[in-house]
Amino acid sequence: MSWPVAAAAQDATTELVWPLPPDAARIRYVGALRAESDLGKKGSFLGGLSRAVTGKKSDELSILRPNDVYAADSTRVYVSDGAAGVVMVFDRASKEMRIIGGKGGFGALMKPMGLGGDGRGRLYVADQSAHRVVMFGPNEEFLAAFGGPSQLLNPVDVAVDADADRIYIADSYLHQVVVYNHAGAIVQRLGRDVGDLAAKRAQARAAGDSSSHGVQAHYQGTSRDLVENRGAAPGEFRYPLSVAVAPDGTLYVSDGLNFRVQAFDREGTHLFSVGRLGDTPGSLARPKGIAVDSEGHLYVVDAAFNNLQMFDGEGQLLMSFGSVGVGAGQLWLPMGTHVDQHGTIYVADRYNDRIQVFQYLPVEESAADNRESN
Amino acid sequence: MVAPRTARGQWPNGLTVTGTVHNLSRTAQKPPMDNMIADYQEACVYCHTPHGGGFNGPVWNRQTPTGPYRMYSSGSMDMITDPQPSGVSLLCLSCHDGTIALDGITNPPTVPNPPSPLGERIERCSDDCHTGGNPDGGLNWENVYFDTDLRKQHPIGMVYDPSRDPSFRSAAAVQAAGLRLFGGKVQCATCHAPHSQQFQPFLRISNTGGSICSACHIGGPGESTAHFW
Repeated sequence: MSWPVAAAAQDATTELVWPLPPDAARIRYVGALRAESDLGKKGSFLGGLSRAVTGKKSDELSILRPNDVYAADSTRVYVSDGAAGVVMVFDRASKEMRIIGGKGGFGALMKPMGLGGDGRGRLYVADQSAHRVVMFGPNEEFLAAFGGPSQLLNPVDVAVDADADRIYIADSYLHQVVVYNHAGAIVQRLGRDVGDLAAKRAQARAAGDSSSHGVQAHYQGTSRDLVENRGAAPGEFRYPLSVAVAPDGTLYVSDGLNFRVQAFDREGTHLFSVGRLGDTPGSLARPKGIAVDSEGHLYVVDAAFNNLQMFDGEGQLLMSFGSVGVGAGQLWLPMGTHVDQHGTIYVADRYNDRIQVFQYLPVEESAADNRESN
Repeated sequence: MVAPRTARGQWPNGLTVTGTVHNLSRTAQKPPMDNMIADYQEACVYCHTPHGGGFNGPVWNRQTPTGPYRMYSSGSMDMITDPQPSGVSLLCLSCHDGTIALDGITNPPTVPNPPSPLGERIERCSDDCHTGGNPDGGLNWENVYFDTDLRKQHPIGMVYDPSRDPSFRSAAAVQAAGLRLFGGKVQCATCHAPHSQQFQPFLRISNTGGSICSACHIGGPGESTAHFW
């Protein structure tokens, strides 16, 4: 399937690739997804649906503010839209867009943030304002929700290890990765666990904050997160923002204000950490979304560098791609990312209101070595 | 305007960044903060990324080495200036996106990324500076994720050019009132002082009676024509 959009943005002779020649090209820019017309079908009938969701006087549904992206298979790209309050589906087979989690159902979403999938047709949505994770089935039907205000403070991402029956939820205000099983029971917590969630919620209510999000408490100068759970040691977090599971079951956690990504095994044992504070290659300043491809490469979105950095399975930096801007292959405060089994890389380009799409290009190692030695 | 600092970390209004929620090095919420500061030993690095950090060289582009990454420009740090989009607001927004801190921006569905009357691409701050007609300018801290009331949005990123609209005071008057412009532009830090909670929430001057609004807008929220574009 081809990407109609961005065909005008680049001609056949000037591909956007990284690294630049003479290094072998490893990443190629593919295009962008913003609205239904980017799927290539004319005359969309979704005009009414679009206005119902966005209020726009437009005959086309389009992304407002993407937080995360997930590609279930080659045909469907899911976009978590925090401003529209729904998950938008780009169906590349039917060339149409749909809505998941709209108002008026058990699966209604408030402010969807991170997306995850189990590779078996289920989509998981971390709903920040509802303090829960919502699960949808292969036909985009609502299945279940778990978590809730008594368990989650600020769920911002979800990743699934279906083989191990582990659903990882990054809660950036609990400073934990809370691990559920498919029955919705908490089986493990990664990170410090000394803060009192119930007391924090009572504090927010006492401050007159009906949203229970601690907004009024913040206005008065107190933190909205469980400060006692912040930590800098291996296995502790300071605002865990994203989770991703590698093919071998390794869990990666984007540990935002520790400026690192941590790796854990299936039992939750810390393996190693990647990155440190700085502005040089291999440093992280605002690590946000992370993803792992089928070869085990780790992709880290950085909202300060406005790029992605690629690391191998031992934490060695391979390369970076992307830069700040509004054009092709550029990013503006990016957030979530996902790499599908074909090596297609999707990035929620948040302030450009679009999904940027790149392609990982496996290169024969012998050919690459030959080029490097020339 | 910000007077010269008297001591490291000490700001002239008497409150230090270590005593605010922007001191992200705290691992427990107890004053004083000094014995609680962890690892990086300082509160500044969470916003002011230090240059360097070693060199974990990229393996796949040894032939085209890259230097430090280009970052946002900042009025307070001597960093590389980017073309559009740029500005100190990018630093604020990199945390104020709902994952680390309050989501500062909501794209109102009726007016997605419109060109401003000044012809520039701007964003709008959904954290209320106005309360939609309240002349006292009181703050409304309800999180609004999906808002159609443009009076609750304040634009940032545009050049402050009062010559285009007589309902705005001069740039000199704005700065004399205590607000800052960055390269002539309005940014988050025009109204917000990220290091001090003297005027909550992180304001440069008091907003009693809407005085922050009045620093730029002549006549107050109800009378200014700037709100109806």
